[in-house]
Amino acid sequence: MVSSTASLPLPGGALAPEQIAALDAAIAPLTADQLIWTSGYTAGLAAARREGTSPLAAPATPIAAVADVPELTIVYGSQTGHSESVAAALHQSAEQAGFAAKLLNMSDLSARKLAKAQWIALVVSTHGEGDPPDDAVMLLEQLRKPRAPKLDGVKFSVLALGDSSYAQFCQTGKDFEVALLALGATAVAPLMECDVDYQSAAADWRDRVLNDYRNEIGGAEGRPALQVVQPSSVGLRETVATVVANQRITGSRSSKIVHHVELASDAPLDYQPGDSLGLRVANPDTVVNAFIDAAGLDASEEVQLEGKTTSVFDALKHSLEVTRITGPFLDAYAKLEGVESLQDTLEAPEGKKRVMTRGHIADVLARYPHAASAQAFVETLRPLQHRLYSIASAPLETPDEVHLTVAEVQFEVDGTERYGAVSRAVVDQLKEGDEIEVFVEPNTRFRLPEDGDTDVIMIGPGTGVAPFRSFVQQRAAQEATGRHWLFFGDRTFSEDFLYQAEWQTHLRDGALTRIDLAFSRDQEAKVYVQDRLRDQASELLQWIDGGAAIYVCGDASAMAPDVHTALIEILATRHSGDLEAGAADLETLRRARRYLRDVY
Amino acid sequence: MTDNNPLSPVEGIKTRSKHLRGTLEESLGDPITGAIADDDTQVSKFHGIYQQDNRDRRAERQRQKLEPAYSFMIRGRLPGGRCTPEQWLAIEALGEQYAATGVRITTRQAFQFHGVVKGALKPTIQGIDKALLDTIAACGDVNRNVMCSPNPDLSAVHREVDALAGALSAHLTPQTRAYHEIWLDGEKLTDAPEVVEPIYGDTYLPRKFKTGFVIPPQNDVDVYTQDLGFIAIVEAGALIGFNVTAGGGMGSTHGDKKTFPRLADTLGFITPDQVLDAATAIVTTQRDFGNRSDRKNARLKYTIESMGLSAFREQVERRQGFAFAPVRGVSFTESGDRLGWVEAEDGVWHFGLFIPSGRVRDHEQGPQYQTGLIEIAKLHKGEFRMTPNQNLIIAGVRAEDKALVAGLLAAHGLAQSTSRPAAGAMACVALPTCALAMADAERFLPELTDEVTALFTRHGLPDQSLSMRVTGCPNGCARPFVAEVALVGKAPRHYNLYLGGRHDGTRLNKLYQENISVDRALEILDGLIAQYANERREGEAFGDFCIRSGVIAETTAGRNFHDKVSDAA
Ligand code: SRM
Ligand SMILES: Cc1cc2nc3c(=O)[nH]c(=O)nc-3n(C[C@H](O)[C@H](O)[C@H](O)COP(=O)(O)OP(=O)(O)OC[C@H]3O[C@@H](n4cnc5c(N)ncnc54)[C@H](O)[C@@H]3O)c2cc1C
Ligand SMILES: Cc1cc2nc3c(=O)[nH]c(=O)nc-3n(C[C@H](O)[C@H](O)[C@H](O)COP(=O)(O)O)c2cc1C
Ligand code: SF4
Repeated sequence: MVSSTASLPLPGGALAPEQIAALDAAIAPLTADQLIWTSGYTAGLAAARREGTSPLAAPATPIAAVADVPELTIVYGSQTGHSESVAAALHQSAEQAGFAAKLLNMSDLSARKLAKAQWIALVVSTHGEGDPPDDAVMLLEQLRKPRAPKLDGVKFSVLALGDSSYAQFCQTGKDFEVALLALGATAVAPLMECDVDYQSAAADWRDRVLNDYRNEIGGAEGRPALQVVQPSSVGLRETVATVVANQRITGSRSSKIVHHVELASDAPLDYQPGDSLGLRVANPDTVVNAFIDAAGLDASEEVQLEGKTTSVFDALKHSLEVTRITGPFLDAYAKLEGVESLQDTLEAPEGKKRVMTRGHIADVLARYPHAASAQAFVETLRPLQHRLYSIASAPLETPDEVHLTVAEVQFEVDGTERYGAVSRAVVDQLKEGDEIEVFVEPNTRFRLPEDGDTDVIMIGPGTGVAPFRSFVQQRAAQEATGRHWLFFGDRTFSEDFLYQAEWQTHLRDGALTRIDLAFSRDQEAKVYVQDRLRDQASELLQWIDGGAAIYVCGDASAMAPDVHTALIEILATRHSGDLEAGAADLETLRRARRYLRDVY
Repeated sequence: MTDNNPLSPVEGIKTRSKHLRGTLEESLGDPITGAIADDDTQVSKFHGIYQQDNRDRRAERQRQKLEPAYSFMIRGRLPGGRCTPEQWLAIEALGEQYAATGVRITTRQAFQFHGVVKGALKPTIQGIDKALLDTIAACGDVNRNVMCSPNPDLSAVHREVDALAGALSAHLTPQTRAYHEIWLDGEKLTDAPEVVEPIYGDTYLPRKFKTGFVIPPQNDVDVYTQDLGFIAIVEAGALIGFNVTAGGGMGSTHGDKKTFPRLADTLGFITPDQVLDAATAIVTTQRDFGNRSDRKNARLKYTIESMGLSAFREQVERRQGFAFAPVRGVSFTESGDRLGWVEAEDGVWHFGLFIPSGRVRDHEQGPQYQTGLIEIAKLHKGEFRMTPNQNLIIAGVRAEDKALVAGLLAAHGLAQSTSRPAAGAMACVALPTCALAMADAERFLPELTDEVTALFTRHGLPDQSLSMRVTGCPNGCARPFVAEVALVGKAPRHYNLYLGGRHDGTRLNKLYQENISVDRALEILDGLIAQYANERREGEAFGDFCIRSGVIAETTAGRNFHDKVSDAA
């Protein structure tokens, strides 16, 4: 009988007046987006009815439901923008779906505020060594406090961005999940971890969230398919750049090899000071050969890779990541024939971490030789990864060039010398005229102050100085009136004073106001930038009072934390040494975007 | 009297320097650069400190966006080159700790450190001070380290002459306290004395000034190359006085005939008690009459040329308050040092140790100069004397200790004798540290002496003595223009060849060929040595032969150094 009514020709007035009244009443509370969605929804219903498919809820139900749906709260904690872009994409899809959703940066969110949310989609990355990105620090702290607000009834789903080459893969995501569960919230879905190639995994997660959420707000299947919005894909805009210069800039007697690299590209790379450049280069022969030795492979043996047949050598050189140890690799490798002993090591507490932080894949292979086929073995490796390098040039100074400061990674494990894949390729193989694949990795969290007369304090020992070369060039070109203070440090004055001649010129022409130096190996007692910061405490406070912004770039494991502590101590002097208060001041600066870090 | 021409920039710096302080303390405190302020590089010289940079690394450092590899050369002041074994050990230790290339003995009986970085200057100078030595006036427009023949058989006379050298050195040392304030953290006197520099005045001398005492017959100090010379006159084993010489110098500039090396004129004879007065008179005459606008024309030798010798002598006699007595006859046998063991009249022994270019270092499976001398210094009871030819004399070895010292020398490969051409050869520092070098000298000398020794041997004169000197430029730091054979740098591995100097350092040589390659020079020498081997007269020295046989014209005076140069040149 249903079908018979459907066949009735509609009267002149499409709906009866009382129907119109009812409909009006129902749609009154709807937002524009919801109305659009509703039109699609009803159209879908009509189509479904004609085909007499699935029994449907009364048209009124969902609409009525819309009125009191729990809001979808999308929060993100992001350092280099990936999580943010994923979250933004989710927000966009949700709105197109007509859902009531809001997008929040964790740093604008307190635990208390979060407690008011009902349905949370959380995207967060991990930085440092298993540390939260700056955005997330405070919120995570608050959620872990004993007196944190209860979250009973709150539903959530977490997407963790990470890089499996770090021992504490997606740690921050896990931390959030644990914290939320502890406060009584319910996980709608298990935590989803993404590795560096997070794009597709992130897309799946978004669909899941939207479906779960849709079910939550009491909808059944058969709704118009939600179109998935790709995140504004950070890091995918690869272009080809030509090497125009590649020059060592540590003295010939230095214990370190650091190169200054100049790249030019026809398609002008648009970037801003603070951005990094992603480099994707083939593994250098030295690294590949060392790897082949350790793996006991035959370089010429053929293997299948993404359906193509190549030699082991080519696969390792051009397609696979052969240095950084990743968790997935260890798990996969441990399953290979002859590597059982590795299993036990990994299962031991901290075992995985210990293996991962001790050198390269080659070192694992050397310690745990396998008996599997070359094919089986190469399948345990992940695809060749890019590396990021802070851009050391300024768009206003060299619009069509990008300069980098690349330090060769070199170390020994069990007496064998190892080289970092990309840094070695750069210092050892890149010749003028070579072409390489690059992309700009924007870093909106490491920008010069909008205001040209804001003072800038730059703390960048070692290659951490790279972005500050860009900063100073840019501000000089802008004729910015703000002052510039650089803290630089390295091993020795005579061999490791990166860009010394340029800094001397900048000091002379005023582009750089002052520089404080810490060379650790020029005297008995080691001195580091944080010591220089303490030496200059009172002057620093004056600059900070004057509104200066503080930038830190470089080593994440030792330097950044030490500098952080030093800054807290310095600020604490304003509170008769109360470190809590000092830390609070620093956090305030961070939120005001006057304490910015780009550490690695 | 300086003419109306504008003063040279250095004069302005001296005036502004507040008696040699300049802005050295600020410069030392500047952490951004390994260099000191430009003006201070002039001022620091008066403190015995030269800013240099490693020229081998200049281009490379520029590409590396690094400033030049700045470091400093520090030069000691040791009248007569004397130091105690304890002082030697102290100098060695400092060289080891702060100098990139250790200790080097100079052509003026002093030691030098090279490659001392800015931050190490103060500790080094303080270490030198602790050893009761200093570097004051080792460089700069003042009287430099006073030389004195180090190896006299006449020990008594040597003691006397050496004491006078020390006294004169002290007498002519700048009085400013700048050195103590800057390097030794001496407190700053609020009320400076009216007259800070009684002898020099506020702007010191127009140019460097060099003094040497020589005890014939060995002309080891090349006395006629000195601005001021004292030739000891000894009768019946006793010192009766000195012939005073003035106006010697080597420095010249390629292609600039207004500059030339010059041998000193002898002014007359004085008694020992008149030495300080005579020296003061000559120094102040140069102070007042020297050219302060053109540094290339400012040495005493040019002052005498422009005043005329008699006018100059009058000035000096007026200032010293007495007339010079008639010149006494002197004769020299040879220049250079006497190497090996020499017994002095009083029965003590001296060992003249040949040290290639004065570099006190251990050669890989070769002589262990550094270690050997340290070991000797540990038990030597006499003293060390650096020679004017970059060698070292282990002086005052008592007969009973001789075997012991000889044993240590042998044990460290320091006993075997060097070929005569090598022993008589000398080269300046030049590259890589010397800013003025046009070619290698010290680094090239071993190659040259090997070749030349081979030539003499080939022509049947294996132990021919020869004074052969190489410098990296015509400033003449190894006193090349009195050598029988001299190569003076023009460009990398290219030199001017000079011939006809006299083996006793009493005659200038002359340009034979200009800007020739090393190979060409050796070709020429091969020919000349062959000719010498056949045609030389009994006991005729190589330099004299070159003149008699007409190979080169004799240089009779500095002013005609550039005349009659061989047409080949
Ligand atoms: C170390 C020494 C050569 C050596 O192989 O031992 C030396 C080394 C230098 N001499 Fe000399 N001179 C040295 C003895 C001499 C001598 C020989 C002597 O004094 O008996 C002379 C020739 C005599 C004379 O003064 O005429 C000499 C004439 C010069 C000159 C030319 C002066 C002139 O009148 O034109 C210069 C350049 C200048 O003064 O402008 C010079 C300048 C220099 C400088 C400081 C270059 C500079 O001005 O930047 C050289 C430093 C090189 C280095 O890296 O060490 N040096 N210099 C000698 C240090 C002696 C000492 O302990 O004080
Ligand atoms: C935002 C950002 C900016 C950056 N900017 C710069 C820059 O300006 N300049 C620059 O030089 N680098 C910079 N880096 C680092 C750079 O991206 C690479 O990580 C670095 O060059 C190493 O890459 P690689 O391929 O040469 O070494 P890999 O082949 O990746 O080897 C590195 C790995 O080796 C292991 N390892 C390293 N040292 C040791 C050791 N001593 N002992 C044992 N194991 C060790 C570690 O597991 C490490 O992960 C930046 C990184 C980031 C994230
Ligand atoms: C300096 C640095 C440290 C990192 N440390 C970790 C880590 O410890 N664990 C992890 O899983 N990922 C780590 N990562 C990888 C990032 O989480 C990954 O690049 C993520 O995509 C960044 O997302 P974001 O841009 O939102 O911050 C690190 C990345 C950087 C640059
Ligand atoms: S002679 Fe010339 S090159 Fe040699 S040390 Fe003297 S100044 Fe330097």
